[in-house]
Amino acid sequence: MKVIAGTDNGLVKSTTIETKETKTWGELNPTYEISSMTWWNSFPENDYEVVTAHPKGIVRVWDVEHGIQLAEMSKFEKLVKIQLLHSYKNLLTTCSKNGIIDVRNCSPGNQNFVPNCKKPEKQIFPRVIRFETKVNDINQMQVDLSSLEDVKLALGGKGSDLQIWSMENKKCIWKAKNVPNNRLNLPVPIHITDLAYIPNESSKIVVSTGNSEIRLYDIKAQHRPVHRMKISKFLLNKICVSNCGRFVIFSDVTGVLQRIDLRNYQVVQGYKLNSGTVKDIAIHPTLPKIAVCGYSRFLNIYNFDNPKPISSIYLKQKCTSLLFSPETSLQTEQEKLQKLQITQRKNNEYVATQEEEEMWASIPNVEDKNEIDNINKVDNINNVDNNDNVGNNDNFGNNEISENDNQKDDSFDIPSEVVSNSLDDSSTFNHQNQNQSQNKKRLSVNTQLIKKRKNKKIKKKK
Amino acid sequence: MPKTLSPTELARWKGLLPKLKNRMRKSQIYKKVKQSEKYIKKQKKIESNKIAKELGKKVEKQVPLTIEKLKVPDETEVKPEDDEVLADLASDEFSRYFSGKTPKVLITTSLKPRKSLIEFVSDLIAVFPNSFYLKRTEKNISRIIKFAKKNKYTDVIVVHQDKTISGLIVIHLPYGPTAFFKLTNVVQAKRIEGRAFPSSHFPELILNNFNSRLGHLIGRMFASLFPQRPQFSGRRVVTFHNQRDYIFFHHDRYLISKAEQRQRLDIELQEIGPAFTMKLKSIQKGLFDPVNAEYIWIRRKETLPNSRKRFFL
Repeated sequence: MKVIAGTDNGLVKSTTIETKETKTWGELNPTYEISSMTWWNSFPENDYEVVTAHPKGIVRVWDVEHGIQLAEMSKFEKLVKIQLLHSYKNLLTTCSKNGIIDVRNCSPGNQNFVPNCKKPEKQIFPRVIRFETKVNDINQMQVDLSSLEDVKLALGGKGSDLQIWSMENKKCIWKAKNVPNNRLNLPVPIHITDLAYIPNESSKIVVSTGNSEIRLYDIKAQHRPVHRMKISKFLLNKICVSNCGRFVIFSDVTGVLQRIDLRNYQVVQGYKLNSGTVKDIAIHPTLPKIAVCGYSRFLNIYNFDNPKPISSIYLKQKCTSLLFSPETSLQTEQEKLQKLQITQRKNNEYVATQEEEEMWASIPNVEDKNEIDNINKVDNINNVDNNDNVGNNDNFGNNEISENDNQKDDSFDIPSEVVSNSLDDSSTFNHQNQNQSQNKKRLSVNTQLIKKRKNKKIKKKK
Repeated sequence: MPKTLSPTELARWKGLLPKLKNRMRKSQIYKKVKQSEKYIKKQKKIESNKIAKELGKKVEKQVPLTIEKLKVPDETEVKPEDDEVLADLASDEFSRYFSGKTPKVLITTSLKPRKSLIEFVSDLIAVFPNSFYLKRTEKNISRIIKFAKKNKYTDVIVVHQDKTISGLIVIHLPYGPTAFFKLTNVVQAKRIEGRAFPSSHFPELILNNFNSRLGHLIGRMFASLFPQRPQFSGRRVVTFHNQRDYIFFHHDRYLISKAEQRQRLDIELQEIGPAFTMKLKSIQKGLFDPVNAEYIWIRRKETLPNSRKRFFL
């Protein structure tokens, strides 16, 4: 598994978790602080091309494996957030603290992009949209990824409540209403620290506030929050939603990490060994694993079930943003080749391996049936005493064809990773299988009891 | 009873000791038990020394195991070969001081101080050169920070009291971190017998055992409270000694004398001022902010592990 982290000083680090190796690129300069990062391709073929945003007003594109800076763009304003629009074009949306939204076209297949450039400052990315929302002091912006035609944004900050803007009309569509007054009849102060969309439903948003509350908003229902939960006395810092849409993970200013079930609105699990504010949380796209970094200079990785971390790596700087790559394990080259073949066969492009080609070449053709029968007869008559040759010929005829059939079946099965996108826990899949076997036992026991009772009743009547 | 007991009798009498009610007899038996234990221990040592001498080996002295040797190894130790960590330290918030700036310190107290607090503060003013006292009439510390920024101060110290002197806050200006400490075992200057009187020379600094990355942060914070070049003719020393996450503070005057019989140099110490112990509670990243702050490190039951052998400084 691979993780890419951006630090407080302008460095970018990439680590592999099993071997605990780290690579650092960049120059140490405390004015080039990184505030957010994304991938550069919308369908990530590469694990190592990354875009970083700095609050100084600069956006950079990095190649993390080789340590090359591909592009640099300036003349932005104080940047808070950068995010990729997963549409048919590669569009980068950026949001600044004053409320200016800037969208640029930066795809690697662009006409203006030069691949091997010595001066990365001279790359040009043309601008598509720019408009001003007169909102001050934005803390977080999120793009609704499930909408393709009319793209929507969600904004929030200190002093400004939840708002939703549309990109085509450049107007505010929906605005949230403040919660009713205190016990002392005073208005509750507005302070939003983090937002998140629930993945499969585009109308529900989860919000964490400065009063240490977690709120659920529903756009289609009402302007006030649907549900409110009070948690602790310190500020809530960050929020992250799992892929199935059922769990929410939040963090505290003092280092508390906890998980909430959205059906019951209860705290289910806590995680340990963070001793500073948590600056970013990231969840793996397919497996149930969490990565956490912060001011304590450690990278911790947890399973969903266990409070102790699987591994903790010492990074020497304070990290402010994280990216989790969709690799599952240390893949050898063979496994990568198999993956490529699976995608190609889905697109009806058949490519054979070396082993398969040898097999097909060594087997004789089906047109000459008589020759095959002659071969089998001759070998059986001549080599009755030598058991090895008979065994070899039989294997040559029967088992290899069956191996080929098995290989073909495995290739066209859907791999397990695609299935587990809907189920967040791979462990739940096993649970279901065990439950089925247990249920069968219970069914058999119950039928025996029913038969006994029937017999008893019949006896009593008589 | 015999003078010393054999090991089988030892075990028997040791088990019977708690059941005896006769006080005179119990004390006699207790003496015998202790004597025989010592005797057995000595015999073992003599035998092992004999065997070692016959073979020609050296007898090694056994070293007792302490918690400092058994503690969990710290990954965040700063090693002198690390370029990345040293460059990070050089571009810190305290790096402006180390290029030749002189400090200016403001000391205040909590509201309605008692007599003991005011005397403690007058001792502290003798420790830090170029320091000033401000009488506390305001309730908000953020307004005191504004006043200090206008008049070009570099540090603010706040001492507070709940019937005993119990806490200390150190704030580094203009953007720097704030540290919260807990004070115990405070000894005022006038209670020390045979003490020396302070002078206005710039002192020397001793910082012991600040090994980890957190420790380097706090060590640099203490170093930025004093002027950079000491005056050696004054013979004044201020020490911060760290052991097992407790920091000990002392303020002394030293004398180097030559002992004629032994022909080597001896150092003698005479205490001047207060002595106390500190323990870190938390460090905030920005200026003093009790509501919206972000913590670099905080000691809390829910997040830190519960073990005797794990230390952070």
